[in-house]
Amino acid sequence: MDKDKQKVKKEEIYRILALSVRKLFQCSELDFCQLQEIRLRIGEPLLVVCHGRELFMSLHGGFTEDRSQAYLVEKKDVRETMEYISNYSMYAFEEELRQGFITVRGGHRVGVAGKLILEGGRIKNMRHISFLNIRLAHEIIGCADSVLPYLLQGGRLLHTLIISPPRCGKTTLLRDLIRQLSNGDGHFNGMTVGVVDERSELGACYLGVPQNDLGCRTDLLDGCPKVQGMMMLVRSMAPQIIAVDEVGSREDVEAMEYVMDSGIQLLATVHGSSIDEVKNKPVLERLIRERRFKRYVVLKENQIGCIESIFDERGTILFPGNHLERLTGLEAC
Amino acid sequence: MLKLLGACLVLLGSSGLGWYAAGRYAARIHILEELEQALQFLYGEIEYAGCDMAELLGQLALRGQLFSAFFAQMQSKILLYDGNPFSYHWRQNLTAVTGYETLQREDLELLCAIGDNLGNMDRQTQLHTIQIFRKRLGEIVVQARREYRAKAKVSGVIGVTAGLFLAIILI
Repeated sequence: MDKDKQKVKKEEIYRILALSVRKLFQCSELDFCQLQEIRLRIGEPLLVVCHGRELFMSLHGGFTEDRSQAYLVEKKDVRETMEYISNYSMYAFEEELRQGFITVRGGHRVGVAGKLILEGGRIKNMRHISFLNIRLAHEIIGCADSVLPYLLQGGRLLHTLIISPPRCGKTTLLRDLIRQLSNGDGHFNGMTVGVVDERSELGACYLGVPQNDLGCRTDLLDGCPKVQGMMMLVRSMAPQIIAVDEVGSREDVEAMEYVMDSGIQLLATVHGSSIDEVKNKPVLERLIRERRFKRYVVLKENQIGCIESIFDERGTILFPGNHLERLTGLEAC
Repeated sequence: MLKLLGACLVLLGSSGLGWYAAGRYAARIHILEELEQALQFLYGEIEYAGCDMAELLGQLALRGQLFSAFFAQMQSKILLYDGNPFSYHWRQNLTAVTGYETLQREDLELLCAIGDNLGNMDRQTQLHTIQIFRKRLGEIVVQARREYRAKAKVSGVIGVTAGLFLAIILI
């Protein structure tokens, strides 16, 4: 990642941190390319996860493993951080708070926890927010280079399902696939891609403009529920491909079938560690059994950006399962 | 001749003071009316679009006249993320309202209260709070118009008559 990108990322993160916490980060010589998470818990040490390793932020801005030397997060730090995350507009993030996270500029996801307000058994809102988990998004241009050739046939994308456990790079891979399919290259023409970005993670839109590069032929529905979004795109934007992240509900699957039956190629991701695990999900089992997906990309558990295997609808392994290859560039983060 | 000229100047000056006082009552009403429109805009945008405060302030800066500089300053200040709460910036920048000096204590108290209660609550409570402020502001505007009708004319008349009185004494 070049210096400019690191600078932008640094600014995006500094922007949302409380002033006292921000000063600690400014004193440290933290490599933001390696930074994965920042955790704030009231009364507990400020914790960062860097390259898979947990470290306490010390009172003087460096890192320590000694809890007594760690900076303890204060109530005002969390309040101030929430003010910045919401741009002083808590009312604008009710829906996100109900889901438990807010996506900020740059596509970084902030998980929130606190006291829930229920109404008729449903989550109405969250107050007394005391725990924050800032998860950094890493846009890695070119990380899908080694995967893409397996997903194309005659210059067309095949219906593809990416299977991956959380925090293994599926959204990053999906984002780069969208970009490459949209732009095209010497071997295939660019395709019109419709993206339903329910959690604003793919495009990281700010004021309607994607902050991440999704290619020149991409139309994006930001903050839109997947089911409605897929229907809208089919009806209105004439896409050749529709991309969605983290499918899982019965309604999602029905909408995916509608997309596939409309002659549009589908590119989707799902949580799971193997095809067998996904097969056991009642809602997806039928689609797999009926061989609706033509390609499956499985990412390896507990490793960021490692392809475990790529296979077709009959289970033929196209990419050797015993030969793990890291997605180009993903190992950097 | 010189006395006559002096008397005319005194008459004009005094009348001007009277009209100036009347103008202040009118300016206050204009400010309050624009604030009323801003609150209405905020209510609508929060209810239907749920836009964040920085975006709303930017739009208000473009729409407003007397509050334009204030909203623009507010937008740039909150985007500094300098550790100060929204209400602090709001209070600090109130002097940027054109005609700020014509506002009365109750107007300023209401303005500060609006700043204290923006952006830090859920949508339903936020809308309810804005509605309360709109109602209160509406009452103040009605009262201000009543005062204007009663006092503006009097100020003008007092200015002219005081000028005439002084002119006569001088002559």
